[in-house]
Amino acid sequence: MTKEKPSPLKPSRLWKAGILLAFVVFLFLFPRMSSSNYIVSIGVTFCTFACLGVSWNIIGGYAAQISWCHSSFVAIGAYTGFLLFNHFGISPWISVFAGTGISAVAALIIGSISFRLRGPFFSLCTIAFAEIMRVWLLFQKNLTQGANGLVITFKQESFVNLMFRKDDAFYYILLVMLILYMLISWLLQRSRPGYYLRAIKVDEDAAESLGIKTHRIKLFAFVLSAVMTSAVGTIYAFFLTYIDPASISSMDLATRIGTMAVVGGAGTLFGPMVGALALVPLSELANVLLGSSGSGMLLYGGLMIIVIIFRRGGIVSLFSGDGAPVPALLKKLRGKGQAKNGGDSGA
Amino acid sequence: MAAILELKDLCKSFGGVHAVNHVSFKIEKGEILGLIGPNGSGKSTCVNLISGVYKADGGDVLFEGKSVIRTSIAGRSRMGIGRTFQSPKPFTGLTVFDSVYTIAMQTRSYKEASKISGEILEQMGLSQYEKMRCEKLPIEKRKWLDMARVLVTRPRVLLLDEVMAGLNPNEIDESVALVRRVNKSGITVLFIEHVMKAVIKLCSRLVVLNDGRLLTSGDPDTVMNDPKVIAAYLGRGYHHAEND
Ligand SMILES: Nc1ncnc2c1ncn2[C@@H]1O[C@H](COP(=O)(O)OP(=O)(O)OP(=O)(O)O)[C@@H](O)[C@H]1O
Ligand SMILES: [Mg+2]
Repeated sequence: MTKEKPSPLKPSRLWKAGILLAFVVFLFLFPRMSSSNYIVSIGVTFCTFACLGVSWNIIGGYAAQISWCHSSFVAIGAYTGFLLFNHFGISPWISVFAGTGISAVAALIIGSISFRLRGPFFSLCTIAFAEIMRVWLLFQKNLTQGANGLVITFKQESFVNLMFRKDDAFYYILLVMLILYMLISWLLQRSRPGYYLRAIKVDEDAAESLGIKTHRIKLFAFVLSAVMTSAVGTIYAFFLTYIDPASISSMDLATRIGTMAVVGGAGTLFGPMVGALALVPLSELANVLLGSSGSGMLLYGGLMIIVIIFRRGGIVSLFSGDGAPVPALLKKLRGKGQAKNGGDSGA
Repeated sequence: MAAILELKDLCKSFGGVHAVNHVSFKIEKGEILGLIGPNGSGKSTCVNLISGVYKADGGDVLFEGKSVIRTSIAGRSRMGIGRTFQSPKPFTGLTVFDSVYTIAMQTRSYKEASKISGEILEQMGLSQYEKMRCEKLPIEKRKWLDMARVLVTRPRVLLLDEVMAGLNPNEIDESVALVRRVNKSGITVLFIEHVMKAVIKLCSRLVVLNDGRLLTSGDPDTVMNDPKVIAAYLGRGYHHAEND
């Protein structure tokens, strides 16, 4: 019936590229804009949660397999990094690989057990794993100090050991990671697994009866997602310098990670980052204004419900796709402007 | 002629319902075999058993002489068993083009996949919808999209579950021609359809199911005039009349 023409794509694509470039430049200049270490630390939190959201999105967004154990992968990365550093003086740049390795194996096991069955089975398995992980960390007192948590003591400024006097360095490291993660996500979207995941998300029976090995693709996505999450965990832990099961291996954190992607737009390239961009400053503000760290969670829960009820596609869906209110509004405004100009701007 | 697909004593029940009850028949290489029967007689269940979407309670499915009963759904597709679903299953969110492209890229380079997807959509008369999200496709076109998707897997045998339901007479003629073309290209077809006009035009042989059992089989003329078949269809009609 209607044949969409490709012509209006070009300027909008140019616009998108321009906005993206400006945003990247802004992100790189961000720490220079304020002398406050607190502001920079919010930047670090943004980069961290954007990275985590992008990672979660690979299994939770593209494949719509909701994971509740991404905090466990953060914890694996964090604890591996701390333990190897404290006991053997191993640089986090090396222990990052140990952490990702362990996370990959964990994801492989959870996935192999649960992906054979459909429905909520995967989600339930991740909840079980998250609880096992948290309890295990609490009770392995010799290794993890249980609820007391682990500390890294600052010795001297060192890139190798991820010790910095100011948070700028962490900010840039995590920003580079974010760009890398976005790149991975973008590549995934355009490659075979990305297409298969989107088909699996809609209809596993159809996908499978057309030859797609759904089990294997989901497993791949979950392992990739776990590995990416775990790597962020190691770096982020060195920024925090203190970790304990309650903060780093909690359902709270798992929920926060998923919320980034869902609020921003699950299953989209920019969704998780946009989600982090909106949520991290907001929850920081809520904490300052309302004075407790619980208010942040309330905010997450509330926004999540609003998104699920009113706009499944999340924030990014306001700007893209059919029926998006923002482009429609712009078009309207532009249309009016042209009418006023007498319509001489034809070409 | 050799059988490309053989159902051997297949059984499947849902709770107390024997949807498919000891059914055996063969599909010969190159033919269009019609599978007919009143509503609820077990036709779709047969397709789901052959493609592996349902696990059989008993019996066997042979593809080119080898049992595939333990092969995964994807594995059977890759061996050459293609199917459509009675109610279309579009990949919501993907464009018409991308839903074919996704399947085509499994066995081809991206470039080849893109080329063949365009060609298949053209053959199906869906070119003009390429950029449309597939859930926005008019209902009757969705079956064609399903067909396009399965054709790019290069099936050896194609199980078509009521692809003509809801089409107008003109469209039915077009589809008949299309199915014939598909068959001419070397693909064996199992054709499930309530539209008898199409069945008679296309099929060289019919298998009739009733209440999950094989009622009879043979050439269309004989089968259509078989009192048992008429009774099965009419019996249904009477039942319906009584229930109303
Ligand atoms: N997934 C299922 N769960 C429960 N019962 C089922 C299921 N699939 C099929 N059945 C039952 O099995 C029987 C055969 O159904 P089937 O769909 O195979 O019939 P059909 O011949 O394809 O009918 P139609 O012409 O209406 O498509 C019916 O009684 C149906 O209710
Ligand atoms: Mg049916």
